[in-house]
Amino acid sequence: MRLLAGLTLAFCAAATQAADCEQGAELLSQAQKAYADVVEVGFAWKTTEDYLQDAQKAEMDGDCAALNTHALRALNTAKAAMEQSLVEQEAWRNRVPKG
Amino acid sequence: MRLLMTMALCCGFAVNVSATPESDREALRSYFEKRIPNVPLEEHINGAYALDEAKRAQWLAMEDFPPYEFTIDEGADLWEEAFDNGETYASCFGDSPAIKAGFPYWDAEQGQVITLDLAINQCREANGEEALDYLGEEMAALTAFIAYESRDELIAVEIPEDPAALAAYESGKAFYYQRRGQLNFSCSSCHVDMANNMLRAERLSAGIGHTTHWPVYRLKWNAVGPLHKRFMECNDQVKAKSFAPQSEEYRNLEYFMTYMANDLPLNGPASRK
Repeated sequence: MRLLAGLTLAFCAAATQAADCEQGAELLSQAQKAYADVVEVGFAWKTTEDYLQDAQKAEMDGDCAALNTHALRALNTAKAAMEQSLVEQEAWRNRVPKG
Repeated sequence: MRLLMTMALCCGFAVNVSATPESDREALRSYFEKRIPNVPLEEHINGAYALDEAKRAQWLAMEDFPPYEFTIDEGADLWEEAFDNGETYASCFGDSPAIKAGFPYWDAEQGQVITLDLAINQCREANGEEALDYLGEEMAALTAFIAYESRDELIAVEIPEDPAALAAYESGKAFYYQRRGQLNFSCSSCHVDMANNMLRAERLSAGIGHTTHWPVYRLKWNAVGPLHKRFMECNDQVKAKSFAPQSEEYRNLEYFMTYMANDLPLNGPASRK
């Protein structure tokens, strides 16, 4: 009985980790794409670059939880940077001193 | 009400489209004259040292034995040194090294802004030499020597009536006022809106005359370095990904900032904290 419970637990843990890794890899891929887009418009954040590096390291180390965390942060900051670039297309004009 | 709002929007738009480089320059000068009335505009070429007496005293003491002096001497040697083909920089720029006042300028043929650093490398390549590292010691030495020889000349940057030149100017202007990075700061956040205020222990200099004194010996660099290195540093400080030195973005920014400093005297190289 104990053996069965142990095997079940081990199986569940492995399955969860595999799902975490898949999700992390997907997030990383999305973050890399979002970052490339914001680099293209000239509004990339250094923060995103750092999170991407951390995520890639976590992926190589097989640390799926860390991969998820860093990739999600990279994706969120890349999205925020893109939002900033859209706002700043026009918002800057209001800051120019007028005679 | 709608009609009123539409008219107000149209007026705002009219103001934007009617702005010229010269009206921008006049407006910025007027802004600083009102914001910091006790400091003559010409004094802003000394950055924060125009605004803070204690820091100015420390800076003047440092200038008694300028830390960039040896760099100027190295630059003088490099200026005279012949390329492998026997030519020197004089073959590109003329005999006098006092050439800084005309940089940057719009080159219609190349369709880009030419800064002094870029012109130096173009001269080298035209003479079969390798381009210098824009952040390297040799470039710093050459530009320091040229800046020194150009001291007291008045900046005279022109923006020709060429849509491409105006677009480059506008691009530099937009960069200056656009917020970027995770901290959401623009150049103007510190050097226009907050000029003369303190940022922790540092006095924020006014955004006029910022291009008059480069290259600069910065204590934190322990070396003489170029304006674009400072741009990169500023971008890093607000957690924005910086651009490469002499990238189109930074050259256009330099074009805008230098035009804003027109008629101010050159005073490079300089020392800064």
